[in-house]
Formats: sequence, structure tokens, C-alpha cells
Amino acid sequence: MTGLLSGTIVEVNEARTPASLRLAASLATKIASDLGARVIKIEPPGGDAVRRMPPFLGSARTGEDSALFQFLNTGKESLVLDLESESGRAMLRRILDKADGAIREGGAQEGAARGCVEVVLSGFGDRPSRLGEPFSELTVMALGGLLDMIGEPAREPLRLGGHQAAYAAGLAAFTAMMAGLGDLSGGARQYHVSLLDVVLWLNWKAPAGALFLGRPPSREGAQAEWRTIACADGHLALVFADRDWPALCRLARSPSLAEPPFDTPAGRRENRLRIVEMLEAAFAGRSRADIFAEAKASRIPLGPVLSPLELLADEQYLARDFMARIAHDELGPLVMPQVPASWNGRRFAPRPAPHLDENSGSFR
Amino acid sequence: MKGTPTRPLRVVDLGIITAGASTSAIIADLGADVIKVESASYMDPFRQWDIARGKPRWWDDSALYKFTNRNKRCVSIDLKLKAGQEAVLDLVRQADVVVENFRRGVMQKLGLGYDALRAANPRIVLASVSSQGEDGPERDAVSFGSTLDATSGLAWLTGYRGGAPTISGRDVNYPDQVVSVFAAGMILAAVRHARETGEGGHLDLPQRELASFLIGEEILAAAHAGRDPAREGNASADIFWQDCVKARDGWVAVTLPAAEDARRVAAAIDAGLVSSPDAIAKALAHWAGERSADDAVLTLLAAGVPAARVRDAQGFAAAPFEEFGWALARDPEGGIAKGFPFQRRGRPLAVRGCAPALGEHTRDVLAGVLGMDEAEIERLEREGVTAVSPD
Repeated sequence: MTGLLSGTIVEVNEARTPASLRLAASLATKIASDLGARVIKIEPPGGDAVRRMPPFLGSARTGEDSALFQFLNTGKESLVLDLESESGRAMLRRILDKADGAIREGGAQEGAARGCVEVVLSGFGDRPSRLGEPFSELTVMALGGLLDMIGEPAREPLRLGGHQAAYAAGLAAFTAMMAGLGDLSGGARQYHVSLLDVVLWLNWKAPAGALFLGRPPSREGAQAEWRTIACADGHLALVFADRDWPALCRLARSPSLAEPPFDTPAGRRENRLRIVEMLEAAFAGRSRADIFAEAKASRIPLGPVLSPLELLADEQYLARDFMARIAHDELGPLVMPQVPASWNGRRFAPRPAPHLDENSGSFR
Repeated sequence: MKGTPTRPLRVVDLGIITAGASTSAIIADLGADVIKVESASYMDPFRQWDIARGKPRWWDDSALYKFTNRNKRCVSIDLKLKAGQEAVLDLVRQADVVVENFRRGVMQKLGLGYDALRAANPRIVLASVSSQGEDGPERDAVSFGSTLDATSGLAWLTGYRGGAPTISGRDVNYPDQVVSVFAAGMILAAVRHARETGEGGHLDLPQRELASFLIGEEILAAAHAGRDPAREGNASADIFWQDCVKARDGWVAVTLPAAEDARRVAAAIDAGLVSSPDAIAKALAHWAGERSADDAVLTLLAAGVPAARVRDAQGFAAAPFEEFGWALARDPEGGIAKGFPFQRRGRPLAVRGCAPALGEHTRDVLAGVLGMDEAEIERLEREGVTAVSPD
């Protein structure tokens, strides 16, 4: 078996696209590429701006050493086309005629619906009043209420790390593409993904809480029932259900936590900061690994906060062969997470990202 | 590669709570026949969340369950009974996909491990949505979504500058939400493969790996540099300045992609010449504090930079329904339902049917899908296999 997917998908990078839509488009097609599809990445003259976006792999910003670009474009072919010229558009039409699917970052619909499945990305979907409104991942997370959920109530709301708004939209675009290519399309060939709808959808408990469930959630910071707490060598995520409380008290070797006022959910709710103080004191001399090993045995859902470097040496990830090592002809060996899935135990190893216009020869 | 419609895609849905049930809900929204298997002895735990017990049929009352299980049918089959397991294997023979997110090992105990499913139907795709995957030393570690924020590295990257790592928390549980968007696509890809090749397979979908994948560039960069990234609050290395500023009546998120954007904003707010991110931060904080969030957003958008009010519960309550786009929908009874992470043109996704009552479609499915006659259906009822009252 060569892969789970076959066929050709075109990623159309427009010259002037907000970075967030580019990241979404590139993640969706990266997954398709790693799964086995042929992905043709159409870059504007000068290349995808993500080639020059951080984080970088070295100090020399040669245009090849963006970790972001290398991660998001594994296994794709690169072709530069000037879509502002008639010849560029004609070439794109020829490519789309033979393709099974295309992902577009909004913009002009020329060449659309030529028989292939089309996924169109936007910031705001079907909200005519927001047409043309500038947006970023941060402002979309603000409108989607996700910012309101994270951080201290008295301080500025916080975004999730990385590019979660764009990447979640990228996952939605991938799934929309798979729906279009499969037997469920019912003849419908065009799918739309918007950053704001994806964020609202992920954060559904907040709008649902405000509109009709009651008790709308908001960020509680240090007062949250689930939060991170310090231990000897870092932090743990304090995550538990009420039924876990007795086991958690034993894990902390703290009989007083099992007594009033901490022995009821209401009592714990009123004393959350006191509980954190007691747990941090109890865990001050113990490592994450030590605490996690015991939590695992007692079936308590605590988790150690791990850093990216620590993930490289993580036993679970090593055992599952999750990190791929690929050889790039200029950058040397690159280590990155693979598509987070296996099929009958087989993983989908990525191949290096293309140099700019590397594959133009095969389109002449 | 162009798919030719064959018979409608059918899913045997053993998914529960969010991660599993929401994955099969997306496939149901697209038009598949999703048959959720529950029983009086084991319901989706979501049926017991946030409800008033003691009401008649309290198990059909959970708003959280209804949100996650629309467009599905529900058959009551007790998987702990031999006759129930046999009935589910019969369903598997008529299906393309089985979705499950039980604890690892439960499917085998029920006699429904991948080998048993494949013996019943070699084309079946078993999609297992789990915390850590099918193997490895952490396979059996229990978790909620926010546990995986921590163990995936996402919490390491989230937090105030100089502050502690931060999880998405109980009301977001980000890895639980996002996994269904990815898992649904993987399942559709696998079904297509299975229909083309005649060979199914076991799809292993660990949420923790997905959360790490979603910070892939940071892992790649850290591996190359031998150095971990720092938490940056709302700042981002590719952006000149970005944060939230406090207006009189709420927070406003602002992104100034480049220095020229900061100069334009400085002119728009009469802040004089600003040259550094710190200077524009101070000027914006001062300026925003003297006006309403809505006024601040209007001025900033007019200056051509991304700006938005940070919506909270009040903001959602005040928003017109159209503002929820595809993310919320109306069900056939006019109620509000969870919507869709994407939308389809021509044949729009819609909530065609409300979430089913426990066992609502038992007879339909036993007779219509499995072809059982009345005597067989009554036998299963008598043996308690298809009971529908947990009380």
C-alpha cells in the first residue's frame, strides 16, 4: 500500500492572502500529501510568504529555513504562477481540469467548479456585513469567544499557543475535501470553511451557555478547578472528576485534603486557591514523572506539562514512532510530528517540502 | 479517484461524550446513516450530564447529548449480552464504519475488537478515537481533554509572558473538540480507500498526537535548535505587535502585522510617532481606556488593522443569530443546535433530525437494516437485549 489517498489536489496560494488562511490551506493539503495524494502547490512570484515566517531553523533566513514552511508543505510539488497574468490563469485552469480537488484562499473564483471538488477558505464565511473586514487569528478567536475562556479574569484574555485558529480551520478544510471526494458529496462540489465558524464551533459551550444552556463559562485563571500547578521540576495539569478526589488526596499524601471543607464539591469550589497551595506544597519535592506514574496507576487524569524538546524523548511517542525524521537536501535532518493517525499500524511518513518552483519542469 | 455513489455510507456509532460522538455527528451531518448503539445498561454518559433526575425519561433530556447526536438513529442493544454482541456484528456486516472511543481494551472485552469486526466484514473501517493510541506505555493512562493540553506541549506554549503554562480548561477541553474535525476526515478517506480496494482497516486516532501535531512547527524548530520556545502571551514572532487592550466596557483584541500598521494606527489615535512595539502598546492601552470597546474597534478597523471585541457571554447573548453562521443551527423543532465546522454549497448541511431518544429506532434498525422478523425482535426484547429504560 502506498497510501490511504490517491489523486491530485491543488493548493492555490494567492499573492495577497492573510497569513491565517494560508496556514489553514497548507495544513489541509499537507495532511492529504502525507496520506498519499499528489499535492500541487501554486505559489505566487516570490513564493509563499510562509517561506519567510518564524519559527526559523537557523540564523540565516535564506528563504528555505522556516520551520513553519517545512512543516506545512511536506511532500508537495511547487509551481510558481502569476495569477494576475492571463498565461498564469490559463495554466491554473489546465491543472485544475485534471485535478480531483482544489483548496483556495477565498479570492477570485475563476477556474472554480471545473469538475473538481473545491474548498474555499475565508475569515468570516456567510457574514456579508464583515466582507472585507481585516482579521487575524487573534481577532477571530476574540469574536469566537475562545480568548474569553483562557487567562486571568482581571488580566488580558489569552490565545492558545501556536496557530490553533488557522490549523483547526485547516483540519475542517481537510475533512470537507474528504467529504467532497467521497460518496457523501451527493453531487455538491463546493465546500466553505471560515475561521470564525470553526472557532465558534470548537468553543460551542460558550455561545450555547449564553444563549440557552445557562451558566455561560468564562475564564477563571488561578481560580479554575482545572489549571496547572507547580511541582519539583515543572508543572502538572490538575485535571480531575469528583470521583477522583479520594485518590488525589492519597497521591498528595495529604489526609487533611480528604477532610472538611475539602471533602465535598461545594467545599472544594469555595477553597480552590487553598487546595492549590496544599497540593503545590505536597508536590514541591516530587517530580512530574514520579507524580504521573502514581496518578496513572490510580487512574487519576493528571498530566505533566511537557515541552517540545521533552516530547522528542517521550516514551509513548518513541514507542509509537510518532516523530518522523526526514532528510532535507539543504537543511539536513528534520524531526517533526507525523500525521496523528495510523492505519493497520502503519504511519504516514512525510517527505521534504519543495524548493520554490522546484517542479515547474513537469508542467511545461 | 472520482467517487461514484454506491449505497449510502453507514456508521455503527459507539462513540460517546464529545470526541467519539461528535466525530460520527459530522459524518451524519454529511448524509450518512449513523446508527448509535446504546442500551439501558450502558448509555452515552452525556445523557446523564446537566439534567434533572427523576423526571420521566430523564435520559432523553440532556442538552449536551442533543447537541452532539442530532441526525443520528439510536438502537438499544446491550453489548454485555452475547445476543447483543451478535446483533452488533450483524450491523457491522451492513456498515462501512465503526466509531468508538471507549477505554482501550473494552472493545476486545465486548468481543468487538478489530479482528472480530474484520471477520464479520473485511471492508469495515474501525475508527478508534483515543487519548494515547492503541499501544505504547501510556496507552492506559486516563485523561480528559485538558490533560492532553499538558502532555502534548500545547500548554507549554500557552500562557502569559514569564507566567506558568496554561491549559484550555474544563469548558474548552480543546483536544476533545478539535479531534472530531480531523477524525471525520480520516474516516472518510479510509472509507473511500476501503471501497476502492475492498480492504478495510483499523484507524488509530490519538488525541494527544493530534494536539502535538497542531504545534508541529514548534517541535521541529525546538528539535533543530536544541532549545525550547518561550511563552509569549498574545504576541507572535511574525507580528509587529499583538495583544488585547482594555476599553471602558470590555477587552479589544488588536493585531498590528507590521511597523507600517503601527504607524497608521498611531496616526489614527493621535499618538504621535511610535517606533517600538512597547510604545504602541502603551499608546493603545491609554487610548482604549477612554472609550467603549465598540468605538475602539471601529477606529482600528477603519485604520485597516484587525481588531475585534473579545466576546463573552453578554456579547453572545446580544449577537444576532446570523452572527453564529454555520456554527449554530436550528433543529426541526426550532430549537438551537450545534452547527457545522464547514458548509456545503448546493446541498447545505442541516440538522434534519433531532437527537434520538434512547432506543428510538430499535425496531426500525432491527427490521429495516438486519431484516429481523417480529418473532426475533420480540425474543430480543424478552431477553432484555433491547431494553430502553435505565430505571
